[in-house]
Amino acid sequence: MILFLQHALNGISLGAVYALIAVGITLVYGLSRIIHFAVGELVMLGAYVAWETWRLTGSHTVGLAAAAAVLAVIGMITERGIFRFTLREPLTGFIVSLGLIMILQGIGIEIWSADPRRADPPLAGSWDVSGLIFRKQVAINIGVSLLVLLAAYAVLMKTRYGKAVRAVADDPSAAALMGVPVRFIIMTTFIVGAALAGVGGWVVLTNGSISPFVGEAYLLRGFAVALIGGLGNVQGAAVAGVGMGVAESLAAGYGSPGWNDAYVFGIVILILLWRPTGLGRGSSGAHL
Amino acid sequence: MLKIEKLQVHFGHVHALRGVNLEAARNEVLVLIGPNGAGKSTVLNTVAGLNTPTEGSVHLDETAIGGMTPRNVVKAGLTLVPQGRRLFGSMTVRENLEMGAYTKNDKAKIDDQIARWSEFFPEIGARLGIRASYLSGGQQQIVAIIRGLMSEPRTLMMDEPSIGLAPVVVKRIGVEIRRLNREAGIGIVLVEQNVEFALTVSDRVAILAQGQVVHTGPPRDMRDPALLAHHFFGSTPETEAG
Repeated sequence: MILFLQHALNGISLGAVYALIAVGITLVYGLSRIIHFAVGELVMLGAYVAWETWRLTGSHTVGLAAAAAVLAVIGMITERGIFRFTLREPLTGFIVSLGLIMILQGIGIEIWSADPRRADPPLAGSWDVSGLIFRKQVAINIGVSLLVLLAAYAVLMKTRYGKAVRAVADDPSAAALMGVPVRFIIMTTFIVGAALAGVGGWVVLTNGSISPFVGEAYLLRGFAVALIGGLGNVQGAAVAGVGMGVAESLAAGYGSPGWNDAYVFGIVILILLWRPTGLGRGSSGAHL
Repeated sequence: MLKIEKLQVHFGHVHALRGVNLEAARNEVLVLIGPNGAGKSTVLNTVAGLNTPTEGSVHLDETAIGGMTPRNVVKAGLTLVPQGRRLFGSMTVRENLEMGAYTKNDKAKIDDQIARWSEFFPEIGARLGIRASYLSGGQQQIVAIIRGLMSEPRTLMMDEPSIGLAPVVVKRIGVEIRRLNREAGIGIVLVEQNVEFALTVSDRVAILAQGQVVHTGPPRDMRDPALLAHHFFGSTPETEAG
């Protein structure tokens, strides 16, 4: 039982990152219909921004803020510079995002080399709750991810801005007729999505080491989670993210670790065969 | 007063509107009828800012609104209730109405308006917290109209408000539309396929054919089969028979 809980706990911390990424993916898709594959590279950039900031200031808190802020700016630059021109043809946007993966990875290797980097953990040590080892850093990471996700959810559900986002996801023309500046709202989802990926990058850094290729694993899982949650469904993405992390952690714990990805994506395929639009309310009709 | 002059719209090679001239006063309900593909919805969508005109002008009172973004058109005082209601299905009725007032910032006033409309339409008032997609077609149409009114327009345009509704509901919508015009002083321009409905609700009708207004006149003109046949089918019953 202790072992099971241990794996589940580790899984939640993994899943929190997936959820952060998937919410960004699902927001961008829900409004622009663009499948933004470069989001893994945004996680990578966020991790390096956090790492550089930590080296400069010695503070992980500043690193977290910097990762979110810098990535928000990068999100805006990519939207203004590239993605807004592909809104009429979301497939073009998808191809462009594939190209961005190569470019951002190349930039990452150029600046930071392909060698793995790591930061001192912000919070060393662990709690031992009757045999259950709980790394303090994991608690922090889960807490930060959860807070960010809850904040994003609250903004979506309660604020004027959030309602505009949901309205554009439901029906962009009708939203325009209500006076919603649709293009501007779409731009903000690229900014928010990138900032969430930045926070994800910080969590990845504080969990272990990073390299310019770290985005790949998160990209695949982020998308799987977004699909299972129902593309365009924010709550679905958050829940599916945590579920994915736990499943992965249990698979690694009880199965052979080498087969980890196969187990996890096997489950993903089965779920999507069973429910092609995901377990949550998918993108047909209601998007959020 | 809504004044449309020489309005032209192209969609690629398709010349959708070929110089539309139309005026609608605040104190009237103007109904735009015409055969399928004549460009009725295009007129409304272009005036609302969803399409960009290639030529011509649109004025709402003194303001030139031709070519404005939909947002600025709403701010200028003209709102379109789109065809097929187009409610935000995943949002509650209340949230839909709040979206209608997106260009307004006065939260207290918005709540006040919602309360007022809820009294006016009790069946809507009782369903403010329900997802809009769960309402019946007639209720959705009423919500769509109230949502359009939340921006406090001087002129309200509606694209086929009767579509897909039961006759008794259509009748009720017609009564409410006339009441809005007479009591609230909101100018109404609507597009209709349902000639019977158009006849009962309108003060004046305009017939649109092949991208131009070919006839305007009192509603009784629609009782004239020769006129309708001429504009809808390009022929008169006599020539058909002959």
